[in-house]
Amino acid sequence: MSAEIRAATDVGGTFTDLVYFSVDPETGAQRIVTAKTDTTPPDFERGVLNVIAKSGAPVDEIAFLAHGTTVVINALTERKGVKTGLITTEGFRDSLEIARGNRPDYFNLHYVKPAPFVPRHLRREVPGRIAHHGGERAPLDLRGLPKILDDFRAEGVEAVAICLLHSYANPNHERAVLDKVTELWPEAAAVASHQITREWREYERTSTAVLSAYVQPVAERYLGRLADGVRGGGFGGQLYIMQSNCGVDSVDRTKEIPITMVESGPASGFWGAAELGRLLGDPNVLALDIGGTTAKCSLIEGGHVKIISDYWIERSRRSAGYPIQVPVVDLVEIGNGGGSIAWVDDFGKLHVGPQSAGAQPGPAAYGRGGTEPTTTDANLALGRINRDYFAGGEIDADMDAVDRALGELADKLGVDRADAARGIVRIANNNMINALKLISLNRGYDPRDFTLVAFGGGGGMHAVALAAELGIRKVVIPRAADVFSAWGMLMSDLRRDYFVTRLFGLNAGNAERLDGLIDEVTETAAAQFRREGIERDRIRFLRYGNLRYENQEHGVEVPLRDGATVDEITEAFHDAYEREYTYRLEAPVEFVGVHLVAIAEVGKLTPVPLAPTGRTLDDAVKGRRAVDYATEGVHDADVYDGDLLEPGMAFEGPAVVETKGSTTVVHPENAVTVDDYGNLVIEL
Amino acid sequence: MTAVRTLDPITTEIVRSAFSAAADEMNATLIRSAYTPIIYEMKDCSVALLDADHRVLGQSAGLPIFLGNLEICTRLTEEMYGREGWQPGDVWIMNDSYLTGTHLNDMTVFGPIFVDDELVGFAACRAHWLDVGAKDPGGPMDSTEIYQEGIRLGPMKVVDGGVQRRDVADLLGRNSRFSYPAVGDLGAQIACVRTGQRRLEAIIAKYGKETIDAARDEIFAQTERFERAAVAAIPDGVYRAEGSLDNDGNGTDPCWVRLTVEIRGDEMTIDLTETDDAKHGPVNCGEAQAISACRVAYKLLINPGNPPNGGAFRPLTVEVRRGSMLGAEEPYPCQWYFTPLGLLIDLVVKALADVLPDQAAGASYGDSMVIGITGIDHRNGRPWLDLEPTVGGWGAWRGSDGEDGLINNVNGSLKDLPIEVLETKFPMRMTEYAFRTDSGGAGRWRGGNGIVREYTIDCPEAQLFLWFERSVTPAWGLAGGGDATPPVVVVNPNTGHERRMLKASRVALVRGDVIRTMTGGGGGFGEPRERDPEDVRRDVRNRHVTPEAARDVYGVE
Repeated sequence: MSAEIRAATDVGGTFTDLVYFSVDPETGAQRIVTAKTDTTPPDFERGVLNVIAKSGAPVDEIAFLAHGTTVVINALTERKGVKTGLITTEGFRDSLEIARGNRPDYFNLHYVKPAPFVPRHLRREVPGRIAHHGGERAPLDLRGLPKILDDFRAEGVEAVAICLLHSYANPNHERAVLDKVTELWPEAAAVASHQITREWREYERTSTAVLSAYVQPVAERYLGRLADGVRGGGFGGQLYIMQSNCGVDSVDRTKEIPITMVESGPASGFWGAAELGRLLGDPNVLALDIGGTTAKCSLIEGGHVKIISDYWIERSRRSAGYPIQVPVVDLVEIGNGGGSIAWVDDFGKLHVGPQSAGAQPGPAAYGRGGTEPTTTDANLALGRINRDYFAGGEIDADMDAVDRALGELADKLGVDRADAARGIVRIANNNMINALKLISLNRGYDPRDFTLVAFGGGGGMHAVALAAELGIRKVVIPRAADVFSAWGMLMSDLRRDYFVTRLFGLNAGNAERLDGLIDEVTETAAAQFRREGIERDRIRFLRYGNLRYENQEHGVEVPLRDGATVDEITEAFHDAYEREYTYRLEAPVEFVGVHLVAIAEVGKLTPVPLAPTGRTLDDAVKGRRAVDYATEGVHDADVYDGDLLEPGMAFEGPAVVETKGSTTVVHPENAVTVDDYGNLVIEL
Repeated sequence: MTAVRTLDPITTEIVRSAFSAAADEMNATLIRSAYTPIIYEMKDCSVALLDADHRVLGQSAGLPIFLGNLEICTRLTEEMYGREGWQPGDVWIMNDSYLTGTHLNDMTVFGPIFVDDELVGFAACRAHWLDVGAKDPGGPMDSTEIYQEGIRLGPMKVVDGGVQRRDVADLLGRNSRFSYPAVGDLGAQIACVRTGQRRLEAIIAKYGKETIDAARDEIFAQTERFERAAVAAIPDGVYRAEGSLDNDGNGTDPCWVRLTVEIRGDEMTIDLTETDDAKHGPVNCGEAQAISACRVAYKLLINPGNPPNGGAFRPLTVEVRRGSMLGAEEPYPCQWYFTPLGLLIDLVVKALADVLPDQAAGASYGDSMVIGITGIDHRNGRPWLDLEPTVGGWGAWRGSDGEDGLINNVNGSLKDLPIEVLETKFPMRMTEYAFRTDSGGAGRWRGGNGIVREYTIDCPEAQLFLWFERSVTPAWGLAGGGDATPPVVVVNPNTGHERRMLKASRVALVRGDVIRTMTGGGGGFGEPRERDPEDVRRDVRNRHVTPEAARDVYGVE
């Protein structure tokens, strides 16, 4: 009997990664294999087949293949979607471009609003009105639609987005427009807002529909070729696509609404962190993913990864950005990764990021012409990264280029090179600390109540320093931290989140209404799963209510337990509100909407402890070198080969743990143990 | 000069970031916990962390117009009650327009911060309360004295030695038409101040007072050096501009804002003394807000990129005449304190446009353009109030068209009210929300267009309040660019009982009445005939410009 293989592939801008686990059917022992090849645009499926071949995994024995891709976010940020037309309710075609009218960069006399993805002449209107309660106020009039579509065709439009007022309350008009568009113009991609979101706020919903339509043909082509490609290559198992809500979904479903993949990259890592926390008995986790260009973090409380629908791309202090109302893991992202460039501004202030040296030219140490110092260069100069084992030994670190780049920066700052390198590390750490504060303190959580789980290529490099600053006592660096996101994918269930707005007073008189709403949304979810062959008894439902005091705008999400009375829900709301906002009121409470999570297990991995080989800690020692800890001075650190560490081993800092894909910097007086699964547990 | 401990630039930067993170966290606390949408949706609020000498360490403003005027509140309180008036655990509140500069709706809440019994600084925040008991819901549009504008508080303790004073909260609740929001927002502001107190304590505990002081001095010095260099780069001279408001809300006479900007070396003086005397309508403001507005204009031109701190604005002197519209004294009304200030900001830019052509821009549509509709909701018998500012067009600048449909210059992160939310909450519906074609000033770079927002009343009766401005001085163009179209509001357009008005109070409305508001555009920049014909054709295709205007103004068929 052959081993059962579960694999995850992750297509990034530069590399296509693969991780697979094979489970020995007799011993239950798991073997983990990783491989990396170049990404192969535009035939991305080729890279996926290449990486499977390179890993040596027998394609026909892969039972479960999860796939994560940045195709959607790339198409959005690089503006590589298709020409899109928009159909709105009469009188409101400009909602998309007026947006919310805000001007976040408010001392900028030359503020420029984010340009709409659909220009005004491709935004067209149809008469008809649904009221806020879902009733029809004026009938839909589609007589003008053929002309609109003719104009769209003439303009080279390839995708049509539809968003009508109050379609979250009653999608009938929107559905009628969609049906007619599909009938009259079957070749065009078309999407109506209610297919993606059932929440109010017309600008946000319109933007969601537009961005979804804009990427739909691109994503459909991608997924179609991927599925055909792997099947053609002999794959006969189940193919799932990673979503932004920490779940996976089928290829067919994802093709319909591909925008749900928009933040799938970070989502799998955060899900992995939550699963790891559960496995280790640490349900409160601050998860930090440090990659080449960005650092992302998310807060997991009680094993619960927060999924929200208030998601924006390209939003910053300087720009209003674009909303996408899809279920996305609640995260904070900053432009601060290994490749982030350090620079000095007009005030003589040192900054790190958000510009990144990327893969080309990359950090100065790559020796590919990069002249500006990056965080990676600083870490090399300080001995934190091994200059003789750079990028797992695949690149000869160009230390002369590093010295030159740091020298120029040091001159601008009026300090020496070592101080400049320490400065870069301190500023980079400070940026990440601020991101971790945003996700914790600014939302009413104390980081000291959490375990920091850090992963990605740079996670282990900075985690201990960040934890020390925030008062966190325990850091976990997962085994194979550089491909931890892929591990997270293998831990994911088929999951869908449904957010539905329905405003009413939370009182005994509305108890039936609440039950009715929950039943309605549950039935919608169950029906959708049923059509895909998943029966109700395999689905686990989690239900949350979005509640607020009357006439407030933003609410608090409260679990709706089976059989909970209105009084119990109200009490839970008061408690949750006070915890988050510090005070409670006697005011009436409103129910704003339901958030239903439907989960079906589709064969995720069950992690098992590593079997010891009898190696000793000494076997794992690679040597000793001087490491500059920036604020804690220079210390001689023991260097360990991370691949040779085994459960039960323990040592103390100062130390460095190296694997092919990542480096963990252990500070003086840290106590490190290797847990049963091969993770590094660092106590501060 | 005392010996300054030199600090490495990295530590200075990290301390700066700690101050600004603390201010951001205060702001997050306030916005998260605020009850009223005016605070969390419209960001009508501001927070600051100050040192013991009332200088800004970190500020996070929701409204630009609140730039640098929280410190005046702690300063004035200290003048009244002495340094020894500050006690650990206390939190204060005040809203007097003549002290804070702004209208009575803006409650400023602040508290001292102590480390080891030493006063080390203050945390302060300001937020707009929905209703403070003025003669009309939300605040009047035709007040003649401040006593009609609501409850007025000098500095008073709302938390005493760590214990919240129930009597004060009770007083404030009783004086508002909407007492839950008042008490809720008070709670949010106290929480915000406490956050600031905790954060500054933590920062000092971590780095030590000496390091913090050295970093602060260096941060202030950096900012001052940068700003002085920017001011020095402007040619010396005296530059003038003037413009008028339509009226004061009660009378019909225009209200003139006149200013000179004098540049001498690295100093800038903005002299407002020739501005009209205080008015009997609510367009006056306290001196503190006039200074804030000058700081906004200064910042737009001199140092837009960096968050403000105690080293900012040192090259700037503002001259205000007591008893003028911009230095109002008792009993002149201040409800619409920001209306002359939006004009003032644009006028400073205009005055300096010739010498700062790359930083300048055509004028913006100018004021918040507020519509208020109120009544009793017939569906549940409860009072309701919709109070909304309206977006409009912004001025073009060298190299770019102005923006269409953007909130005015005294506001910042303010977001408009979603139609779906509006229709759910209030017994009315919206029938159009669209760009207003041809409303931007023509130019080689076109001024942004204003918008049309049309409401239809769906309840038996309601009342309309309007505060639309700048029809006498609409947004002007620069460098040959055209002026913009002024605002228009029409009630029941194209009917036998059509009425036009810009400012109005308590206009009776009945079911089916239509209110069509149209905001002005922004000024153009450069000669219209020099506009790239392709850009004109694109504007016509998008109906930002009509074919007639393209032909007549731009000479493009």
